[in-house]
Amino acid sequence: MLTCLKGGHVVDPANGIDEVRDIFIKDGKIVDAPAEAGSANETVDCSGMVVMAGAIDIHSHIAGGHVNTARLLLPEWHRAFSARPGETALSKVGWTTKETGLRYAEMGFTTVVEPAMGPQAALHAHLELADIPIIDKATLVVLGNDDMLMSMIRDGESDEAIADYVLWTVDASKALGVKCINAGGSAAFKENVRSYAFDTEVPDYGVSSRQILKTLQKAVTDAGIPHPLHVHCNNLGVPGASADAAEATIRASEGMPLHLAHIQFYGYGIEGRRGFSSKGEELARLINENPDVTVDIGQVMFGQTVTISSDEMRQFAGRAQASPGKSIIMDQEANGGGVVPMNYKEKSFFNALQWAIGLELFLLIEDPSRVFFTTDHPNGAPFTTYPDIFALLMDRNVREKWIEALPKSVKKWTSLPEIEREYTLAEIATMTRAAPAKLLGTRDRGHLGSGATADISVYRPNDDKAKMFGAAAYLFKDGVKVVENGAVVAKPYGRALTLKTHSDAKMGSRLDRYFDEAYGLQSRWFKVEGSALRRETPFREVPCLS
Amino acid sequence: MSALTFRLKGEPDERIDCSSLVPDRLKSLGSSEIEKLPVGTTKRGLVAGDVFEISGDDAADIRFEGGSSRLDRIGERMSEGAIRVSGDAGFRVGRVMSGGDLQVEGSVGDLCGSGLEGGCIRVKGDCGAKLGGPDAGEMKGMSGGTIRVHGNAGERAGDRMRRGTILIDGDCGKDAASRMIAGTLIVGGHARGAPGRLMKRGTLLLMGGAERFTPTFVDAGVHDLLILKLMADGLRETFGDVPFDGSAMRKMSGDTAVLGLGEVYLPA
Amino acid sequence: MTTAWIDGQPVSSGEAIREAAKLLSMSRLPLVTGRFDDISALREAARVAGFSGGVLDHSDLGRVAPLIEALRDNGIIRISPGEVRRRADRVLVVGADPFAGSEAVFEQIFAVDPDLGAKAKGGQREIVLLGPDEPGRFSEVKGHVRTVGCPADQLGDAIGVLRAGLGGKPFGDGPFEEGAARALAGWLKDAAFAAIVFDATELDAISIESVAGLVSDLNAETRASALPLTAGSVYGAAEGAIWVTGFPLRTAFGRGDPEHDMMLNDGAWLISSGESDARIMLSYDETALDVADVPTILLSTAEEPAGEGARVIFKIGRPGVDHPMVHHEPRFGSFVSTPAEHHGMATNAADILSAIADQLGKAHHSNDEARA
Repeated sequence: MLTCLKGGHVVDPANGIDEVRDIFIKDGKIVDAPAEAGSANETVDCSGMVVMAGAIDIHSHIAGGHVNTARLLLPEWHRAFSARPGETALSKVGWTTKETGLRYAEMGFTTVVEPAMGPQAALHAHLELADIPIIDKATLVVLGNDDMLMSMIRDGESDEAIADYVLWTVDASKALGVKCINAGGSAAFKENVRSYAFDTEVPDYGVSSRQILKTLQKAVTDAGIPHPLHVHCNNLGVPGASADAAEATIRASEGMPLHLAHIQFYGYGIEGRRGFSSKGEELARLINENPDVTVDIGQVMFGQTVTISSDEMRQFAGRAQASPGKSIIMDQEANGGGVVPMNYKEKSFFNALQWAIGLELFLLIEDPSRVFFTTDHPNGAPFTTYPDIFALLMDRNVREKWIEALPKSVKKWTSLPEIEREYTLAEIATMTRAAPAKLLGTRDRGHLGSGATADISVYRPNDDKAKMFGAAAYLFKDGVKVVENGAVVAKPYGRALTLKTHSDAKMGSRLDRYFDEAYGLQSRWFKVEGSALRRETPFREVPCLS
Repeated sequence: MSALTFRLKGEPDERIDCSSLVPDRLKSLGSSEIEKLPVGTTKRGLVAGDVFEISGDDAADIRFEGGSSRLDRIGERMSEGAIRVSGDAGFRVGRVMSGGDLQVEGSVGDLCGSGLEGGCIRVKGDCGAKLGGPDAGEMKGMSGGTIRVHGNAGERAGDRMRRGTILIDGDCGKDAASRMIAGTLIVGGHARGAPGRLMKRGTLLLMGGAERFTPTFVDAGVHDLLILKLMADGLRETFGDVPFDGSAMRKMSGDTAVLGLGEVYLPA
Repeated sequence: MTTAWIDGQPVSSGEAIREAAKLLSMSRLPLVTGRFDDISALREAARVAGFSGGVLDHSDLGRVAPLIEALRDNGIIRISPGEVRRRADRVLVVGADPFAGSEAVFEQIFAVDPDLGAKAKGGQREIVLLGPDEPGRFSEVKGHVRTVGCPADQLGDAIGVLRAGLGGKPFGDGPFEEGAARALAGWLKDAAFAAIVFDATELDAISIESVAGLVSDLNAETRASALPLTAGSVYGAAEGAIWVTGFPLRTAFGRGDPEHDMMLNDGAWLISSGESDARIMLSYDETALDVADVPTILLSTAEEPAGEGARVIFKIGRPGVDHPMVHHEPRFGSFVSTPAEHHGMATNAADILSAIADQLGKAHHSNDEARA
């Protein structure tokens, strides 16, 4: 079966293509144009439309224990209580795994990364991912507050041993990469430390956040894991200290790749009588000057949402701002975490400036292949706000209207009104397709070249970019048409992308003993068996860098 | 014009969602549109015309004739007009109502007046649990308006109540005024369980006393307060009659497990 | 070997599946219930409920309803057992015997001394039992154990007294001797890491909220965390239902979208009130069940499955014995998979439920969740 997407404006920056041409699909892959024109079995008329690879979201909390806890905590925000929350971005997300898949597909997304899977929540996360239809998924496993790693660093164990431990964890949890969340912060919080920074030592271990981060960065690089260490820096959201943490972390990249997550939450200074100001310009300059570093934004949008994070220390502190005023905080082996509801208000100086800082960073970071499109769903905003964010990036006039609605006091604290840049279609395709695929090491996607997985989104151009990107004209997943005119027409299951690796047997038996003796746990519980997920093809492996 | 009347054709065999049958919604609809409003809760997709004989045309004056404990969400979110039920009603009667007048001749289920913001609810019979209380996960119960239950109330009446007045002529079930934030709850009869658990502020008058109090309620002695007299006078204007007259009462303060600024008055 | 029956007559499983789907699709509001020890079965049961416009419940949900209510009304700071084992130098155990049914967790926590934390490690654990007069299963553990007697129905009061004591507010002594409440509150406050353990199936929602409040108050200055115990599979089933349906069970699909109600969607109530007119039930009971009240499809592990009056019966294997299972492991605080103890021919309930859901889905004119 050969399908032809005919006459669309193909925007495929990975292959340097930005022109009208046909795309051919066969057996779930993109293929070269056949020798005989017109030999396609099926032709989809894409004339006048924009054709891109399926979009990739590298940082969205869609599955796992903490996400499920958020669902538990906020029944009153579920859309099924239709008379209650109304049409807010949060209620539109829905809470179920099924709705997650449908809403992403409708916008033309085909791959989404759950970025904070605790090693202990791995099976839970994969069970949820298995129940998300249409899209492919991947996970980053969280290390950096675990007793094992901090003990290994303290005891001066070899780089090889640490890399073996990291690979064992990635393999057991069926992850695609590694994330480090406020390295050492959760462990310090368990010792009742309330203030913590990059060079603070974790009590009882005597290792600093910097040491943990650098050790993990080296282990990930040495192991050939394509996705660089994914870092959630210290002091998220703390005016002044957040920007210091981001700067210190960026400077610590030291020539090796590092990804900094939801950088918006670190763009906070302490100027002004409210003690809250934008560091967006400085942070963007620093990122522009450090080519080792990539970032995603974590854009804030206004409305009810809920923050879900494995940064237990931060979430504990955030309880004071919970709205509605309830939260669940978890002390667990390693990171723990917390779920704190949040209502970002357009009329709040603080929230409005957070929104502006996110956009400053989006627009002032020059290279669209080093800045990624995220809201840190649902922490900055639910992913259902994405269409509006595309419009804000691509249309100055839309930004002006939004700025008009903000408190007057905000304008003098942000450079946003002066920024003229508008993202082009090619830049959007770079940021949401080509660059994420490269960052994750998933070379079969993010582009429309021959041999690529046929994940293809087709949009109907519209001056209103929110309308354009809110409802894909078509979405093809593995060559199957799953969305038509913004509505899902088929719900096949995707799979989780996992790293093709193997773990060292000696490390395996060492960890069997360790988990039993230290925690009274069986190490096999950490291992995700594909058969437990009840899907024909639960995983697709992604090779390591050689 | 005559009252817009929903006469029950027979006891429904499924829960009926009456939330769309409120003055706000019906005033702009013709009778054929009203007939077609979905009210069923199963896959059968029952509409109003399947369940009720509908007559009359004054959407500001709605009647349910022949009640049933399966008629849920009567008067939900209504902001104006009147609803009368000539029998029993189900769960969530008058939930998040903000104005108007709602009267039930029979008894009602749980969550009557849940999250009430304004208006007046009167139940001639008994009511179920969490009178005026929040629905799952909600941070506040009733925040305004008045509720009177002539019969008995179920467990945890006035849970998370924030403002407004509830008057229960009969007894109330376990743990009334749990997690109360503010407002006034008056019980003519006996309060079972430990009333006021985790109450922060607010006023309770328990004319028939309480089964017990938690140790985090402290006896503050007998008071002959002018405020009680003023309160009785004020409530008489709202309810016609009230089960207390402003004479001296014993006061308990609590719950000191939390803020502890709640006041419970008992017969001296 | 026969594994399926219609009206007591042996049939092929295909026939039984078609009959089950027919019965469910003709029902006004079918109840989908049982014990769901295996999350795989729960995931498929949710599809059955969705496609048949039914209600999804668990026969034991009432046991954890107060915990669910307290968690979502108020929130909590909670801890995993493994972390209690390593870090908690002071543990307040609330209730007569909260570890009944959670023996493995008891063993996990109390078999060793705490070994993490600059202040906690190297010392022995101090344990206060609030409830029993005798240490019971704690008489053998490592650490110092003492008891503070308290009647079961005053545990919530006692926690409130501790909170008042911690906050410097007036209170009556309740179950405590004079001065003891303030001393115990101070003992918690001076811990390196305090854990408060309770059986969440024994306390009402307000009492659980009180425990959460005490822990929250303690964390203003020190570290403390709560460990609610819920023996059995029901909490895990509720967790699983949350991601599939958005809610912790008692969720109806009569109108398509999930609608949750702890009272109106209580399976026992739905049957006794007549609002549900059919049920499909997963049972691990060996004894015969009386299910003649409404037409019933019974999935049973009994050697000779017998449901008094069941229309359709499937004999199924035991999860984790005859086939692998996925379940919530309380020691781990998350889901684990357990292989079968032996390889046999026994049918996995999840496969039966999946086939029924597929059959219902076909009739639904939908390609919903069609298997790849």
